[in-house]
Amino acid sequence: MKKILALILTLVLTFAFASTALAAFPEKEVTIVVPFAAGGNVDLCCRIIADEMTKILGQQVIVDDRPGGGAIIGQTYALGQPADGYTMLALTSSFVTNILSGDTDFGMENATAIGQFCFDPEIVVVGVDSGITTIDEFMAAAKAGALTNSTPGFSTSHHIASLILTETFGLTPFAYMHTDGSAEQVVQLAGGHAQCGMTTYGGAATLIAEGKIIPLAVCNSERHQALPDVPTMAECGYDFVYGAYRGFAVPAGTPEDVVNTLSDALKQAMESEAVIKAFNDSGFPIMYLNAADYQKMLDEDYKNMEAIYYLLDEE
Amino acid sequence: MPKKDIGLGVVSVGFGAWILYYTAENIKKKSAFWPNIIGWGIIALGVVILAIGVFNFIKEKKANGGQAEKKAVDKKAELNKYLKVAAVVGLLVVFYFVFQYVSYILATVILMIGTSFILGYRNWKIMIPTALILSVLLYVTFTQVFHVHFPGPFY
Amino acid sequence: MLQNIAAGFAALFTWENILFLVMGTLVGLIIGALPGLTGNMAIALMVPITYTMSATTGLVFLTSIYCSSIFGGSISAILLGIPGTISSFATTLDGYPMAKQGKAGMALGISTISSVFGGLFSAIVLMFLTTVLAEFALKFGPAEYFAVAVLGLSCIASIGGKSITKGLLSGFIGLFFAVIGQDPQRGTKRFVFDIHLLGGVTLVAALIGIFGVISVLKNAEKKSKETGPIPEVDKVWIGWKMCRKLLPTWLRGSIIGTIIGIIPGAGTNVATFLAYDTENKFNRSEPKFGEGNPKGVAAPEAANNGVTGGSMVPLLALGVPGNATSALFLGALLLKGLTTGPVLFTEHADVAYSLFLAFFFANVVMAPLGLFILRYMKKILSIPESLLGGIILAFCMTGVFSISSSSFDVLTCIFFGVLGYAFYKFDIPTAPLIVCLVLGSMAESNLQQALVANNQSYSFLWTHPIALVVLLIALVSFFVPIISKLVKSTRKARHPNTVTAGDLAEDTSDEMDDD
Repeated sequence: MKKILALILTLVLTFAFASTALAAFPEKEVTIVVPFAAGGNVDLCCRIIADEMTKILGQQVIVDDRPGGGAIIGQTYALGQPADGYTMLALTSSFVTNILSGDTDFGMENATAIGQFCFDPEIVVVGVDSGITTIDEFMAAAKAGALTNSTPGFSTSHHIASLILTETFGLTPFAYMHTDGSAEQVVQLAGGHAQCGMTTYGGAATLIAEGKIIPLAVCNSERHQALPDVPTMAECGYDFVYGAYRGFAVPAGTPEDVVNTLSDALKQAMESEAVIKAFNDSGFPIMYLNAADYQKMLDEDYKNMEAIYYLLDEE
Repeated sequence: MPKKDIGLGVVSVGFGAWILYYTAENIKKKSAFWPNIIGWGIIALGVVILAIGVFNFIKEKKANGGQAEKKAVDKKAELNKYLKVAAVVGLLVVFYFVFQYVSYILATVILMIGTSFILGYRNWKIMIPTALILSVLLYVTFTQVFHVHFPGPFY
Repeated sequence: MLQNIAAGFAALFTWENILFLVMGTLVGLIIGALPGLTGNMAIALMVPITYTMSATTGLVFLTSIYCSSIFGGSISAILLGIPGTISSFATTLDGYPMAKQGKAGMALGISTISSVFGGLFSAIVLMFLTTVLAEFALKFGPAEYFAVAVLGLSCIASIGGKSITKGLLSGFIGLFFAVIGQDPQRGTKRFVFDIHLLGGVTLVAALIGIFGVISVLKNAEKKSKETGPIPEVDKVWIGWKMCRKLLPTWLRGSIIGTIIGIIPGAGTNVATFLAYDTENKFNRSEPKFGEGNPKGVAAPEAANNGVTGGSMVPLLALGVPGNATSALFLGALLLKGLTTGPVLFTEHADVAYSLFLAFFFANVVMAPLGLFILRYMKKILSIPESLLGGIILAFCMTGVFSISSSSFDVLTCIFFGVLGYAFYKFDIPTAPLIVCLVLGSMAESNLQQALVANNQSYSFLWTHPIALVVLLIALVSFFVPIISKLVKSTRKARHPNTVTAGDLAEDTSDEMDDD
């Protein structure tokens, strides 16, 4: 009897070991580190995707919010984890700006892209009290003198978009009013306390629908699906594409097959009905890029940002 | 009392001066407006507190000179008091390191038992089970319900 | 309108909804009572759970958590003297002294009824005045925000204890800590000694340090025998007579809470400070504020629950979340395919009105549930202080860490505990420090924005009527208590037979010894 028991035990053990050695990634829960506070746009996107990826990967995918230090805290934490694919970083444009600020211990080379899931194009908006109704009027006014520009905070993507716009078209530098978050920003615009700003659709949707904020042009190669009447910058003769991008990355050195598994899972998730519906309802435009394309895009963004970074450093 | 105020006044003036010095050395002019106001404000308040302290000190000395002796007797009890406070702070620092590099549950047990001991609780039969059960309970609740991950390599 | 309300009723009253209403209230109460854990965190965790629910059930669940977690914060504030969140900070100032005097039951009862009153008031405002008041929110530009921040800061003059200079010193030190981090307008780093300070000092960590850690340090000072008898805990129900007495306080508190709650971003914190300070100034009854006056509990509690409804106004009417919690509501609404703004009231009237009614009934449910649970919660006080000390520290440290999984926050908490102890030794009040730490950067940032909008001219101070009025009120609110204190002390100085200057200094210390 004992012998049989022992045999069974050994069998079970060997089987268990063999299965761990052979088991495909993932064999335990995967964590998405969000370097922003719970309830923000990035957090919301990630929670939607995490639910779907849980189904695809067959392992729990959980969201871990680690806000603070302008996202540096969470980014440093995630990239410091073992390069085994069990920790992903929700990577946004702040990753690039943080590296350029010189405050980080990590560089571009420390992250390997998994893929992009969302590209939220910037929209040039004005308050209804500004008296501006078209992008041409806006450009003329912005060249003639400094307009007040409300942003949701210093060095946010909306602020940077405005800086690049100024640089690209030779506008008079805006008089910036940096508020504390996008809720305050859109109220400043709708209430006529600031003249113009850059924003993404989600935060201003209701105020746009009510006509208190006027969208002038979308900084993307195609029109925004929620705003079919608003032209793109290119249509108006201004070649300008910029937006907040969101994707995932893992610490550099993660095995290639693991990267591929995660990348495929992300692709599958972004094609699922549940995610498409949730993203549409929340006003997040889906734009999937695979690992290679996302990496390429990040490197390009780094180059572009490097060129204009001095604007952020100026008084 | 006045002695304390004199000390506080001096510390405040020093602190305000440090803010001004740091601001002048490290912060660009346009961002320095607010810190400078704060620095000068603290210095001004420090001077006022110092002046009141000196004024009261002189007054008190004139009134009675024998108070100093009475205080000397209490010194040992006073020292004991501060040692206890320092010990609690020390425990918190121990907690900080243990929970970060070793284990959350261990750190919490040490913190709970240590603090209660310093505060004068001696009923071990209650203290140890309470500490053990509570720390495990906290651990389970925070990790499972609130999805908080503690940094230590062990539970 | 009535038709819509009826439709809302019909949508709301199903067994499922009532079950989640009760469950949400319980969850909120418990989470709110734990230091460091906020309703915000609870709601963020629960949003995914609501994916599978119907829109109404999901919103009912979140609403009940929101309302009761705000109220739950007062439990630890009163029983242990530790405000778990900034919104229950003002409650601590009088609630804890009341508990020390053996009136813990009464304080908890007042906090329950006041919260319910404030919540109901704001629910009614939300139901009938949303669209009107939303326009009001848009009137707030940087000049107005600056004025509101200054008004909030002005209360340091009256909550600073007897010594004006020490109260102000505490406030200035608070302003200093508020400066740490990046300049909100220029990104310049200021006093950033560690990368974790880039975004500023974590408010809740500082708050818990200054109230939680310090309460244990104060206990450590005592000789073990000094742990006095356990204070008697009286009944939780306060009686109709008290209710009548507190009614004006509740009304003022609710109005302040609801109005300030409407202004996006200003939110809960300013509202509780202002409500507390207003009552303090109007108060003629004994004991004084800060020494356990029931009104000192009633006002901030009515105000912080008043904020709950107020913060939903800009969200529902303009799609702009007034604070972090209503941002989560926005997410939940959007995920249900609902849009905010006037469309919500026309196309999804049943959901909109059942949300209003959920706010109403969440508060109604809170009263019996709160009073029932508190009967047991107040038993915490029968745990010996020496044993409780260790438990308090463990809860504080865990709660602080969980805010954003940051060990640095734990260090911040310890640091502020030690700083608070030093304040205590030097007879410096800590309340002004907290107020200034919370409002400092709001004041600075909006002042700079207002200057940008006005070509660096200070003329905005008198060209914006709302800002002007609010600033004038702030001036009065700041200088009146200072002048009255000065008058009192000169009067005392003129009659040296009764009180000497030495006694004056002694006075300050007595008042700090709250135990």
